[in-house]
Amino acid sequence: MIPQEVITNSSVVTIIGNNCITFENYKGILEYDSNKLIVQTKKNKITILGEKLCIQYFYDYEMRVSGKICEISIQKV
Amino acid sequence: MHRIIIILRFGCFMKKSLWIWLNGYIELLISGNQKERFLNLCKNKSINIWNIRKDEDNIYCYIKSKDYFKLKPVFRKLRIVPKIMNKYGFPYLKFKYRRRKPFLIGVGIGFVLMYICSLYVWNITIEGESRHTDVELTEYLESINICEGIKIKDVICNDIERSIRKEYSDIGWVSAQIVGTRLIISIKENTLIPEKEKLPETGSLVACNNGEIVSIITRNGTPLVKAGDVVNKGDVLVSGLITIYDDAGEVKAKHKCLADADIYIKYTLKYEDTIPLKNEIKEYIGKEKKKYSIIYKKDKINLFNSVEYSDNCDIILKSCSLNIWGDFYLPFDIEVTSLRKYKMVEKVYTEEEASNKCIDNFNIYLDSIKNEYVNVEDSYIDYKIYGNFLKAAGSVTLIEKVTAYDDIYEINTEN
Repeated sequence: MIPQEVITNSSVVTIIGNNCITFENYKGILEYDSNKLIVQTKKNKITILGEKLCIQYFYDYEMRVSGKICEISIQKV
Repeated sequence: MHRIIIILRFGCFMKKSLWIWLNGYIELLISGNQKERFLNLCKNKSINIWNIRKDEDNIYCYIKSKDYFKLKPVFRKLRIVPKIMNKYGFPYLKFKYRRRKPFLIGVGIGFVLMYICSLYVWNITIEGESRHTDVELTEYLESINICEGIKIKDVICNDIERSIRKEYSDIGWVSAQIVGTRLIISIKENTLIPEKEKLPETGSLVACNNGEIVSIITRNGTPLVKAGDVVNKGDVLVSGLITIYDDAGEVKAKHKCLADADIYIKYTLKYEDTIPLKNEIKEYIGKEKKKYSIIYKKDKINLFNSVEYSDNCDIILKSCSLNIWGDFYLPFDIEVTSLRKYKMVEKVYTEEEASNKCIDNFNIYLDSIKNEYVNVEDSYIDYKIYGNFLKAAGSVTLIEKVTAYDDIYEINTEN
């Protein structure tokens, strides 16, 4: 069975607790600060607000952010 | 399953980290206004960066050494001047110690020696033994050529298990396994009921002490006493001689058998104890001195300063096998000798201290007389100080099951 994100060409965002978030199939970073991170995906713009945000790794296929995540919002581009 | 996935992932992570360390990596500081653009360009060029954190207006990140050169056009394009904060990994370590070849050779030899050490068994651990001692089992293992220093490939665990089971019939289960440079032998001894003392074919039950019969239940033989009777040590309680009378009341036959009965005798023992109030105790002088030694088989090498032994000193030896981590044991033992000097000083016990000691001694005495046939019914102790001594007197009432046998003698029971 083909995964849904492959068919719809959507991004996959995985949150573990409130201190780890993983992005797959994303386009890039629009803004990065220790309190704010805006990630550009294919269809949306995801804003993460938190404290001590740190990008654990930033690969071309996956990105993981750690820190205290307080708020996540999705805006349609 | 979940655990296996975690271990596999951790294994992959470790492998990847080791690979990155072997190739070298650097910590970069990026400043300027186009930091996000720099990150996106790295992504587009498939350059992996990690541990990105922002500190005021700067970004710190880690990058592989060889990727740094791929980024030069990016730096030029964005007009960024990166600053290398730190360099990590094997290439930089190699460069740092390029003028210290003996050191590097030493490290290399160290690794080779460690590899050679890992091919041998340097520690044999025996678990689960209670009746057999470690020394006994180790000596047996030595007799079948299993000893410290044997090559791991020469150790066949199945053979060891089989030979131990064959040699010791009371060992029901054996497991031998090699973990690191350690041979672990786990055994389980059979918990069979011990054979009872051989009883005579015929005999009478006799009193083991002077006392009063508490209860008597006879299964075999002729009872000569009843509950409440007072008996002396050696008196026949149940005779092994069974007399059969005919209708006229005359003896028809006499049979000898082994008397069997549950007889309990109650008797009292006196207890006395004297505790001197003035005693000599050790008072330690100065600091504890320690001596370290490395032991290889029977050879001992002393490290650091040697400690002088004198008459009045406590010497405590502690020995342990040297291991680098977990079960990777090395062929050396470390021995720590602790030495502490003391002088004997006179101490006068207070009444409370002396009485506590007296009660402790009394409890030890009670434990020593108790066994499967003897129970303590009542105990009493009283103490008083006479001059420099605390004298204690008391009594213990015991109930003992009669188990003593004697030959059968004909006793005239008609009277």
